[in-house]
Amino acid sequence: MTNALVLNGSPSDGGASSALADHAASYLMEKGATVVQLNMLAAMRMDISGLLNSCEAADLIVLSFPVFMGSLPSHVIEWMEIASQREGMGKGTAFLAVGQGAHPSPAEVDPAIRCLEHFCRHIGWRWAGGLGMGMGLVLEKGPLERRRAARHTVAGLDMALEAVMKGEATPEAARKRFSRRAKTTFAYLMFANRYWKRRSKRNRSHDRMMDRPLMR
Amino acid sequence: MSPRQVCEALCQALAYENDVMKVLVLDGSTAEDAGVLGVAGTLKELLIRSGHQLEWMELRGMTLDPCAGCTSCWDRTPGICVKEDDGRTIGGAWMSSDLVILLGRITFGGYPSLLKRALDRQAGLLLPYYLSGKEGVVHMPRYERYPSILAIGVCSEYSQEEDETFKRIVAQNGMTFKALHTRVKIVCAEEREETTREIIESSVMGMKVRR
Repeated sequence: MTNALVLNGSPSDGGASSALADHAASYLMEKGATVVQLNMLAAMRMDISGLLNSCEAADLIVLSFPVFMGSLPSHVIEWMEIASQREGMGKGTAFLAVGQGAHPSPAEVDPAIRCLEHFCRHIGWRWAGGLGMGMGLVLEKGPLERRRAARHTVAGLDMALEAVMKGEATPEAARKRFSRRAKTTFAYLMFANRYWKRRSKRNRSHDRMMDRPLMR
Repeated sequence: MSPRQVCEALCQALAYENDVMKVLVLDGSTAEDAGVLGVAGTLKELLIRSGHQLEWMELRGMTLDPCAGCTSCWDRTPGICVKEDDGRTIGGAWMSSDLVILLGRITFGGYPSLLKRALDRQAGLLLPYYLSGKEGVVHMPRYERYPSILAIGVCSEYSQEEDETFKRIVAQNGMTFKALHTRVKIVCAEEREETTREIIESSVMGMKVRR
């Protein structure tokens, strides 16, 4: 039986990375794995050595993360720094990276996936592959299974998890399927810009959206 | 070299020699990292000697929480992070400088966590809206002008793959933060001091800045 650890690398729960982590955890449980699911930042704040023990005990780690400023969020890098200093972590644990960014292009996620690959090589974990997608805003709110816009994402993730559970690397088809665009770039830009306008109206900040508080 | 290139190089050199730049250094070194501290010392000495107006921020001594990903700096308090710590101070210093220097150890091909924490907190310098232009799809700028970016990555030994990843990340940040000029320099911590000095001096000297 596989001991899987599913980490949500987003600082908050309820967003796109969280939805991807939830889906990965339920898929793995369905396939008979023992799953521990954690929010990385919350776990680091509560008990960092507990988090590292969970990493050490796992045969498979799935990290779902958002892209912040073109690469991994700072607390994920901090976790990598701490884990790489700890003795006895590198026992060939399989590691699957699942990243999403709000930018329309999946290429934005690539450098973050490369960083995780370098980390795995350094620590001695088995790199099971990286999945990256753009247009992450379409995954916001609710379970992925019910969202039409997420059907390729779900199919790609399932294919990757199935391969990883068999001890294989993520197939290219899974990577392609996962990164398939949910909308055309033009449609997504319209969608994303409307999304922010709606949110600013809800927060009563729409008339201040263009403010320049740090103008010198 | 074409006459135009010669002219441009001359203008840059003169600008460096005659004009005083406002330089912000985000120092992502840790107290135990002798390699980065050595490079930081050389950089500080060069910048002071050149007469630029220098603001040096040692991130390890600052109160800086990780970005919560709450997007409040976009849709609740536009342009300002809701966390009342040094993340705000860095944003103000960023916008009032001509050149931002990012200094830290290359960590698995990316920034160290301390430096990345400072960068993540600057999302409010941009608008959440996207814009499709000749550079591709980017965030709309909130301000008219942004400083140029020079990233100095320190490594223990050169690794082509990690260095390439680092360069990609910095180039992406340059585009995101609308820098007029973005440059990456990778310095090996084992390098002789004179070599480090030459690398840093040449990289600062060639920076184009918008005033």
